[in-house]
Amino acid sequence: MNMTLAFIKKEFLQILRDPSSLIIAFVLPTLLLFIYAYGINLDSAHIRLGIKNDDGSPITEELAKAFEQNRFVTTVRYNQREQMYDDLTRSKIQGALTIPANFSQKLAAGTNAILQLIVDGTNINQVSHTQNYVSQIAAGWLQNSRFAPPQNAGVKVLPRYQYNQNTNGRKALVPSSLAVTMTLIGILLTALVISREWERGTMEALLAANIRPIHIVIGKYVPYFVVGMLSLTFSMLVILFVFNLPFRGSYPVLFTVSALFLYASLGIGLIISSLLHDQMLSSMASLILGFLPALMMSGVVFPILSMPAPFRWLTKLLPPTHYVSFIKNEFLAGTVWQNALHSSLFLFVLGFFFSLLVYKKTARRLDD
Amino acid sequence: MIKCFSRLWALINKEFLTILRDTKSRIIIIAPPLIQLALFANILTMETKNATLIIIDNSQTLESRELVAGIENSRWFAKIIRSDNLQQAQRALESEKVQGILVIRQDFSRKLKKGMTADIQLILDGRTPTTAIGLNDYITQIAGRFSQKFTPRTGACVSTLTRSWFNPNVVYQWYLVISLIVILALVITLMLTSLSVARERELGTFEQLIVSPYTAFEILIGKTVPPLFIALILQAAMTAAAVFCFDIPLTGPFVLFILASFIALLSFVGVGLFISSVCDNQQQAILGAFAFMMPAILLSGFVSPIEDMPLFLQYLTYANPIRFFIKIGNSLFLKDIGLADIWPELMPLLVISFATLGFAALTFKRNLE
Amino acid sequence: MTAATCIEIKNLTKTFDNGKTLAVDQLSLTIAKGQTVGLIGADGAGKTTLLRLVDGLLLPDSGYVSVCGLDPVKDKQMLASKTGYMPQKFGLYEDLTVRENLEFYAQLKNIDPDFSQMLAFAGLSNFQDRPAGKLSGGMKQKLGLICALAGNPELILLDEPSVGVDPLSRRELLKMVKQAKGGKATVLWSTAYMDEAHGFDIAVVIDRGRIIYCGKPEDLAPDSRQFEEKVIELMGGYKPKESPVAENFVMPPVKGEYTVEALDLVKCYGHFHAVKNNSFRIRKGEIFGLLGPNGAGKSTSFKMMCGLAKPTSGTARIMGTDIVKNAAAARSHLGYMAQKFSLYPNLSVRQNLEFFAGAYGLVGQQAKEAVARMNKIFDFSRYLDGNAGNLPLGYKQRLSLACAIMHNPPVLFLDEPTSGVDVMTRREFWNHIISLARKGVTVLVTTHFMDEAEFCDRVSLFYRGQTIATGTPEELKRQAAAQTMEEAFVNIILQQEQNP
Repeated sequence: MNMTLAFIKKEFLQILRDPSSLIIAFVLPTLLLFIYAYGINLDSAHIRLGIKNDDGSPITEELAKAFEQNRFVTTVRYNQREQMYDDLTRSKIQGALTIPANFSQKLAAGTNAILQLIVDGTNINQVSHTQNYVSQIAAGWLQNSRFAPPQNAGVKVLPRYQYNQNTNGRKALVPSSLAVTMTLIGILLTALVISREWERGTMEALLAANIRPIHIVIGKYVPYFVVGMLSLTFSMLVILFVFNLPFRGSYPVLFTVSALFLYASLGIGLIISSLLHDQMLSSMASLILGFLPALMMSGVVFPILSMPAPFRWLTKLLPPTHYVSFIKNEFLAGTVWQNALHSSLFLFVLGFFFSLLVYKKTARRLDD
Repeated sequence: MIKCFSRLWALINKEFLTILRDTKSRIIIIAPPLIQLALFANILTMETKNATLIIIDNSQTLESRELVAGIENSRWFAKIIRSDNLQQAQRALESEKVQGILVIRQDFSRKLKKGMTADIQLILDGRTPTTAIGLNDYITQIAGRFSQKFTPRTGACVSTLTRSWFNPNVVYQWYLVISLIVILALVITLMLTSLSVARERELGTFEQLIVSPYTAFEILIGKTVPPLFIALILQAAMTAAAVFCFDIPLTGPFVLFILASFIALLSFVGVGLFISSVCDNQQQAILGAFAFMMPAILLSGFVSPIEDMPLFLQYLTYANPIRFFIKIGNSLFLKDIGLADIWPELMPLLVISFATLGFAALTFKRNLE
Repeated sequence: MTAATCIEIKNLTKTFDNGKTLAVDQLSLTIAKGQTVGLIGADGAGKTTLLRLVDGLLLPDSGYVSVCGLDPVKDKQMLASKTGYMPQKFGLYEDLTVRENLEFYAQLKNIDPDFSQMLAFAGLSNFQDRPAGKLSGGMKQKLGLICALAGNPELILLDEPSVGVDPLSRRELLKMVKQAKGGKATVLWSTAYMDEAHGFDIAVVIDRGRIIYCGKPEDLAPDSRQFEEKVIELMGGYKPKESPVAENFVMPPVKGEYTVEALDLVKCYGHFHAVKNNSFRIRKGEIFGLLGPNGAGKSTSFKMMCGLAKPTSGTARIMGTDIVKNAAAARSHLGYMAQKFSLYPNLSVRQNLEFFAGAYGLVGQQAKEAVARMNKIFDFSRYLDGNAGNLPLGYKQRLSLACAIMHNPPVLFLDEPTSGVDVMTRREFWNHIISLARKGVTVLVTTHFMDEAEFCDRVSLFYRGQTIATGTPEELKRQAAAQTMEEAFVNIILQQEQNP
């Protein structure tokens, strides 16, 4: 017990001495929270739209004005088609809209008037936004114009976005970023620590001392667990008091599941570092096994649902996937017991399995 | 002259040996980017797929059944479940077993027959906004078609004929693959470079280098060429995969593409060496590389357009080499454009390269303390 | 095994690289309780492997080991509480302070000793809040030793604890070990210092994994000088011959009498004067020895001389080129061997040699010849394609020296070149150095072996940042009224301490 405490104390002192680990635990998470809150926007987009009016009638000028007045659209007027297409090619505008010469004629004749839109297919995130804006603005304009068609029978979809009425991406993204930062602490920071003991030669002295593998294991788990939980608490305070996001779940549940998630992540980090006695290789491994999957495959940005079937199941084996889903619920829906229990059980079993593996793989001798 | 070159070669060769010293290191550098490109390119998408929808048809009339049939025939959903229990459906939505509930009201047919607008309610999961918005688009399109069929439109209307240039079928994978190539190139280059100086400092070999007749500039070249070369090879392999496996056309001038890749990778190397030269040990260098990488990827325009960011973040992205390289990559792959057109992106990359590499070289000299 | 036996080894064998490298070969040894045993042997003879096997850090391939009645493989935990082991590269946490390191290792052994007393014992009381990484070499070794001694172990295993330690500190280390456990502990101490080994109860000489002598040192020779000769004889004998390094050496033309000049070098860190004022001039072909206790400022002076540290004031000139103004040009005349092993540990011996050949502008055939020559001279063939980081300590030093001299520099800076090198190789090293000097190479060297100081043409004694005595070895001995250089060193420093 005493030895474990000594080991834990030593780790803490080392963490405190090296500012880089504190930066990872507190500064980077805050930075990421800000980026997720302000830098990433999945639901609305500003577009620059080029308009060339070949019709030129007062009616079409009204339509062009409707585009100008929309707050999501910045318009650029063109007289020359080549000029507009050139700017589209150079990405100065995201869409090129042509109002054909016969547009007002067709409207007056009560037929279908066609707007020609060319979008920049290289800027894929804005293609559908551009398309939607143009048809919506045009439809809205038509409704209020004198060509408004008589009300016909039709079906209208009334969407209701449960848990997040405004489909505010920020509300879903900001909590998810906790999964990324806790993965960084759990895997990257811990992956470095044991490799470092080998590289600096302190491992030989440790092995020669009366220290059991269990002490090393606990001694490495506890300090980084504490750092991870402190970082979580800190991030939570930022989310609640700086971003003012509502929290609908329960704090005890949040901390319990977060603890289990951290437990599983630490396991991965420690396995990496006890297998690879080299800081460069273990950081590569934690990048491949920890960071990129947590960023790409956990459902923070790319929906898991849209992945092909076997990979969808594969993501269920990754701890961050469970945590992302859990943390979104805590913030948006409140604790969903069934899912929370299911994820907790999985994370615990995974974490326990990892710690057995860590214990088994912790070196007892120099040539292990 | 030959002597100078051979001295430089000794340094470059040593770096290559350090990076690619054994099979384990070689595999860990070459394999993961290629595997990840293949994996991510095939599984990641922003489109909504595989969704399950519950339909509660309270109307149970000819019209409502036709609407439901329209949804079922759309192939946009993995599964349609019919139910009459809203509470049960809500629970399924809560536990993420289904992604949406469509409720058709009792008065659906009655309203339609009266020539009125019949509302259908679509309950979606706001916790996954991308999927929810996608589903809303699908159902709206189906409902529109249904309305059109039910009462053919009379009178004036406006429709938009959209053509997508450069990526005619709006294949998300094209964009994804090109962006992933850039991101993976950054990740691997940073891992190779951020450790190189910090490791030598920790081992004490950097002093040995400084005592040798190498100038700071020569050391800089020795530290730049090997990772740049490896990154270029990887970049070439990934580009080949993009063209031959993912069938993405390489439209722009090939020579310009190579030149741009060279400059972009040089700036990645510069950032890595910059991080490495300000760190005392490997741990700091690795953490520094990660601290740069995360925000750089998120603020690159890859997941969300830069134009939508607040102004101060937009300014911040001017220091982000991936931002420019993703832009150049997409442009040169898909558009037939020239140097003048990508110059606005190329110039910042040159500035970043010179600034970071210059700073790194300065610290090589300052290492005297 | 009797009650009085502490270590019993029978037919012990250990190989590495899947049996390709034989480290310990059918070795048998019995050590009685309470004895102090010196372990001597050529570099790569298997000393470190033997110590690690005794402590259970490595698994033997075959054979029997019993330590304090325990099996180091099965009862490793129990054994650990009875032994104190100090590895060659002692595992100090450089970012933790002296006291934190000590407390950590004490707690690992589950003991709660009087830390102040232990720190006082090691003379580290005034440095207890200093990070271990900022200690001088000698202090680090003392700290490592008290960490290993914590808990009064029955058996003390020390792997070259005195490498890089000055004579004064070396005496203190020895005293500390002797006092451990009231002098009743069994000590197994590997060393390259023959005077040290001669003072022990038993000397064990190992060669290629086998014991070639085991017995009282006095039985071999009455004094340490003759003991050294005898040990060298046992190890195959050393015949002085023309140094092949010097044979191929071509001295470039030199202008002026003095090739190396230190002009009022001063280095301050904040208010601390690491080097107060250092001036000396070395003639072409002269061997100039810089002696002094650990932490006196030798290494700092060295670093300023080769442009690794910027002098606060003053400058140095190499072959007439100012090191501050034109570092690159000045350094091009220089061969430098750092104190700490600073070659690429992940590259093979051959790759290291090839790199340094290339770095100094040797091309093609020239480079190939240089590498082949170094390989032959320093006998690297056994290790040529292995990682330099895994070399035995002595071979690391050989490789460093090889890399420093392979491009035929007219000026050599050697910072503790012979630390951790076996007796025979030390003679070879000095044979090279002296032969090179005869050819006109100017040598600036530091060492902690006082017998080596006798080989220098002139010696400067450096203490607390300044020169306290300069002269030929004879002059210094006369000045201190001493028989040997070691005595002279100790006397002059003690004198200085009494009348600062």
